[in-house]
Amino acid sequence: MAEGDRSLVPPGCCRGPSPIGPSGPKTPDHRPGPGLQGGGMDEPSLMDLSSREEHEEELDFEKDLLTVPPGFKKGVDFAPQDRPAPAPGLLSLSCLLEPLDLGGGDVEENEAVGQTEGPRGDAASASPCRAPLARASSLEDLVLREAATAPPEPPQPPLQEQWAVPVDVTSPVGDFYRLIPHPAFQWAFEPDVFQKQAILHLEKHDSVFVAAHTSAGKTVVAEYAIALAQKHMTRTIYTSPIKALSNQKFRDFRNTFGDVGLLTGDVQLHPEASCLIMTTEILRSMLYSGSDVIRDLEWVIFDEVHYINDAERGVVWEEVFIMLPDHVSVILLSATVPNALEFADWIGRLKRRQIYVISTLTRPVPLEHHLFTGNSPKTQGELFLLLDSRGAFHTKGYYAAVEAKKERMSKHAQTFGAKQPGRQAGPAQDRGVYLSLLASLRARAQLPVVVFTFSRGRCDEQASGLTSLDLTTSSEKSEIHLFLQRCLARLRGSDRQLPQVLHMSELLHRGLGVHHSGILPILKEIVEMLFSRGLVKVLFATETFAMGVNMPARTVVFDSMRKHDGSAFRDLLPGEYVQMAGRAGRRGLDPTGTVVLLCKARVPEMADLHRMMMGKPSQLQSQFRLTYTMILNLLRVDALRVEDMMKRSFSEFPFRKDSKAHEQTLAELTKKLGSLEEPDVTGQLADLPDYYGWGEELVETRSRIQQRILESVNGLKSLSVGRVVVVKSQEHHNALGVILQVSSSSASRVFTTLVLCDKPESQGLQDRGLATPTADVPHPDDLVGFKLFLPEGPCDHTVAKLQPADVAAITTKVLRVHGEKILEDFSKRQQPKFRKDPPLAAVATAVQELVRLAQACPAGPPTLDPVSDLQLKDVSVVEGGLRARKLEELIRGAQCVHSPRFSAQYVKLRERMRIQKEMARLRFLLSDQSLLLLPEYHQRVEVLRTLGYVDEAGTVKLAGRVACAMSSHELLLTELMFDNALSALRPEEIAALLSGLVCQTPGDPGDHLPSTLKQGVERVRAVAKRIGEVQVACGLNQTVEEFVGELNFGLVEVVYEWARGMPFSELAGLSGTPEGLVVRCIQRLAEMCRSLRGAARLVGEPVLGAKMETAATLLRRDIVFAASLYTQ
Amino acid sequence: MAMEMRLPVARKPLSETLGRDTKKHLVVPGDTITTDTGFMRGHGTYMGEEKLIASVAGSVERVNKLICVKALKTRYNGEVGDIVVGRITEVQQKRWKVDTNSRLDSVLLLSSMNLPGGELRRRSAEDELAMRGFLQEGDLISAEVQAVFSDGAVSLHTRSLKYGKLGQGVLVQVSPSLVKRQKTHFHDLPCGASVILGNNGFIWIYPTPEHKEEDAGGFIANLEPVSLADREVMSRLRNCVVSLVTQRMMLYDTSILYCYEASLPHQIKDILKPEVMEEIVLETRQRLLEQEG
Repeated sequence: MAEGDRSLVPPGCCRGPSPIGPSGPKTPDHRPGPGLQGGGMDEPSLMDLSSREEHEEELDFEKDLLTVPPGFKKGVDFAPQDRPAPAPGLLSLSCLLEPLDLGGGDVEENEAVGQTEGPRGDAASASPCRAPLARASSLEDLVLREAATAPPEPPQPPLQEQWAVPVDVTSPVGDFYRLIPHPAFQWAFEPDVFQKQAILHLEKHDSVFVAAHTSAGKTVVAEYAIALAQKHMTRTIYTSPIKALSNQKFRDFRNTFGDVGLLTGDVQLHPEASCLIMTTEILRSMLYSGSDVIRDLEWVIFDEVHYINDAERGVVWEEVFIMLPDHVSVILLSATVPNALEFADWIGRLKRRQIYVISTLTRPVPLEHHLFTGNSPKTQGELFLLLDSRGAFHTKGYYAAVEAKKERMSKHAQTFGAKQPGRQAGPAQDRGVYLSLLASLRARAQLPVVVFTFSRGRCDEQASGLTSLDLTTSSEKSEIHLFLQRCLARLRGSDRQLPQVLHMSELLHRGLGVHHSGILPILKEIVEMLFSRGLVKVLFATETFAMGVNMPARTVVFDSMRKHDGSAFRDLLPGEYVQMAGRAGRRGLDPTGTVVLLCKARVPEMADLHRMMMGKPSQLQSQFRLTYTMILNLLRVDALRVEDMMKRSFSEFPFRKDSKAHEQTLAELTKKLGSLEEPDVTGQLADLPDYYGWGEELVETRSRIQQRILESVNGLKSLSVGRVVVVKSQEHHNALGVILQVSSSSASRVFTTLVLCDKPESQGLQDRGLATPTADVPHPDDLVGFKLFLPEGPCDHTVAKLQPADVAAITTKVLRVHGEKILEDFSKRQQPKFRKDPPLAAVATAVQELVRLAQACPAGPPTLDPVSDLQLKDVSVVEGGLRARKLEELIRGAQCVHSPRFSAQYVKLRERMRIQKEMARLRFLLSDQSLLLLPEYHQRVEVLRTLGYVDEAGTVKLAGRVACAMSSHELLLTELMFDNALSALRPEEIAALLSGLVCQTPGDPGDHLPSTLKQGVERVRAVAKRIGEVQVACGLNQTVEEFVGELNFGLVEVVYEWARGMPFSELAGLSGTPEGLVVRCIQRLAEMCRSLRGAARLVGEPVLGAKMETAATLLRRDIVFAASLYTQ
Repeated sequence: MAMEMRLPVARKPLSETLGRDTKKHLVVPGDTITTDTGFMRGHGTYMGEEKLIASVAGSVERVNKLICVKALKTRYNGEVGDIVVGRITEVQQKRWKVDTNSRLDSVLLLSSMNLPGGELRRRSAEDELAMRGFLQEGDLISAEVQAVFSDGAVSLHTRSLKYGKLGQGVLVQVSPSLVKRQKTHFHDLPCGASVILGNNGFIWIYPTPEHKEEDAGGFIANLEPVSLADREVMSRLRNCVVSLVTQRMMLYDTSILYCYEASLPHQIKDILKPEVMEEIVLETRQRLLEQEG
């Protein structure tokens, strides 16, 4: 750290950047630079590691002597994570109290005096915390330190491979305040254990993964990191998956820290601030473009990181993780996931640093889950406890609910006659259900409540249905009224009269609210704000409300447990359920949170309920896929190859995580290969390598043909009871057998076979000992025919269950056997009692017959010919057969077998070949060729090449650079531009056409469009079709229809009219699309216009650029671009 | 001391037979490129009376419906991601002005530079005071274009170890249009020297560093004397680049290397004689054609 800085930084934090120091030459690189390029796959060099060790060692040793009070055992109290603190009561109390008093004052004092006190004072006050913190907390380091006199040894490689370190959050951090006497941030409340653990690691500049329930307080960790970065004069980036969440976080953090900026697609506030809040996409584009911001970055906080499971956007997270420079530490906040360790291991491996996994299942406010079956004021008490706050499942409650429901059903049926049961879900019934439920909850003071409904329409319907409900007092009404007036004042006159606005304010006055994507953004924010102030008593919301910020309710109600996930109706996943249910229970206000599941039609199956409530949340899974933007951006820089990106993705992780081990094995094999002596292949042995090759190939070809046979119908048919087969498995080497029974399960066929074998006790060992040296070397006869196993002594038999793979050949012979009888007899003789019994006559005959066969043709019995006998006319089979015959001839003609040194040399050669084969396999695994996505990558590059975006050498050309500038639909937009499809149109027409690319609700453009627009739509479709065809021609498996189908021209007219200046209130009449979606579409459109403007500037076409500028300004007006209330 | 003096002679037209791309559509300002209105106009063109007219002298390039003219002799027009070599002209508060052969001075912000030692923090007032210590007027730097402002001015950054202050070497200034765009513009040539082919037409030839500097952060110049052999190689390379430029050959690692090899039979100072230039460039051209097939 620079001298000049010391005075500016409060004491205690000077350790901050020091972890960067030892990592020395690791350069801050603004983009996937050299550090990153090597970083992912390479171990830090040994020198580097050991020097680091040494560094810490010295420092530590000194500090230990100075600061550890006498009587303390060295190292014991420094590692609270590893062992519980000794005598927690006494020690920790004193630790807790002392520094608290002193430290609290100290901070103030030091900050005030700061300069005068100078470095000496700093060092003194910083040292107590510095010593323990400089220690790495992992066990192996501790061990190393104990042996302080020994020279620092490089850490053990196997230990090094573990990058995720689980942190124990059950034992309290007794000496928290002693370890961190000057916390960068202090809260009004005492942090939980897991929060303290996380803070300890943050102080050490470690990366952490925090998995906890929604309201458990993950934000505390984020806040601490921000405070820490401010103290270090570095920067923090906070990313969230959705824009609304960013806005909310912006307000929260701004109230806490002040120096906070916000970067989203359409807002840029204080981009210079030390804490920046943005969406993950923005961070990605910053990384691609090498933005300035990345430079001073210390932390990146990823909120809701389980969003990586999102099929469409998950890849963005992976890209960001892969591209983040090495000096940045990450904080991952996630809902509880089962494979947190695996995920953290992946990130740790990427960044070559340890990730501390802090996972907690505790809820600050426990939940109680209920079933509700009531539907009228009379039955409003029908609330059955299903899962109590301790997590016990009450079957009694379930049966009571079923009982209550059944009773009413039968009564219902009696009164009104039999009706089809599906008619339960009408709006009228719904209203009854809700009125009774809300009355019941209100009576028990369990408002506010969030009702999760999985469709926008139902949300609106239900809220509007409750006309009679009024939940607010008159003072609350006036408060709501004032707030609404203030918020709506920023809207234009006619916008204030929008039906949705009027309807919503009416609802809000009565304490009801609706929150889903169809609601105008500003209204959504009003609802959120009123809800957090406790003025909205009942909120009907879709799943989006469950995401993110702290908006807890007393009670959460599930309208149903099934939702439509875009393709089909399905039950809620445990993770989704937990996330939504977690909204219940306000910390510090409620003793428990109530979750109610409505049973409108019938009570769900208990197993389903159990799975949903108690099941494991879904795993974090990679959704990595290749995008053109990614490829183009990576081709532009030489620092990171696309192959590297694929290699490091989470989806490749299971295959790649052993790469270190593979490399090691490979090195060992290379060494071994070098030490082997060369086989002698001169003279008569000249064709030895060939001979070996032929033999291998023959075996392979035969087994391939055999596999085909066994897969075919005819082949399986031939394997019936009585068929004589040649068995080749681990125990039996080319022994004859006869099939006794065929198990009929189609998935895995098992053939129970009577097989010839030796008398076990008489010959076993001796025979094997003799056999190995010579029998292993195959002579032509062995290879060509099946040299059948012939028992030398008295012959015995056994019954084996064979897999299809064990059948080496199917002979033409069929024996007449009684399968069941033989089996019975054999199993009887397996029992000790009957062991001495002679085999039945049937068995003896069969064995005799087999022996006779084996003696008759020792080189192998005639086998069924796949082509003529089994009617397998496959090309591969026929060719395989020909090749096999050819190989047989070659092998027969081989000269080397006549050499006396054949056996010895053959063994040598085989050894060598095997090693080489294994090496080739390992090399393949390590190479790019084994990447799962490699073929797709080549196809996509081919598409880009065909369209002229990159040249043969992979250099990105002008069109490619233009495509890089686009935020989405890069190919289509670029092609449209270069085809001059846009320049001739007027700005509003361009905007209207482009709406087809961003709109997400399907629909028809409508018939009364102006003709220019109609032509334009056709043209866009034609260009899309052309790109789709190129894609198909290059082998991508997205059909042209799918590609063109991604375009939705449903909002063309709406956007056209909007751009021409129509007020929003009139737009609603043009389409049935909910207002919120229209707004979102227009917002995204404005972003697209801006990126097109940039692209136009890039190609030097000022006319189009000016038009796009105009289009963007035409779009950005009134309610659509009303600034977020959170940013005011 | 023998001295050779020559009078200027008319330049011979370049041999057309060898060029593959003789079909190039060359225009001068005022030439009509096309009368078809279906085309988009790109850089170096303007619309006049329903016609697309060239505004610079150069070759016409087409991407689908986009037509632009690439000027043969031009100032540097920055593009994000380009690698440039530039000279510091001014030290200001928080930024340096850099001459990169473009129309406007480029800027290098203090924040877009690595601090010595690679330390990570926001810049303080002390750093501003120390700016002249990092880079002062007249220093040469290599950098990457971080952003292009709307008026065409370029913002640079040197936030990777490969960029930074340049030490000892030779600078050749050529037209930016002669530098071929490639994935990498830093080349360690096998002949014993390295070149940085700045996209802005500044070519920097320097002795290949024995070990990549690790901790200097790119701001400490190595002032050890360069050996004679190295200097000879560099001078030869410099003359080769000049002759390639005179004969209007694109500059990239292969062309420079081939030219270098072709020049080996001649003395370094003779390379610049017009007939020698012509000879070695012809040879280079031939080899390149052979290689491309």
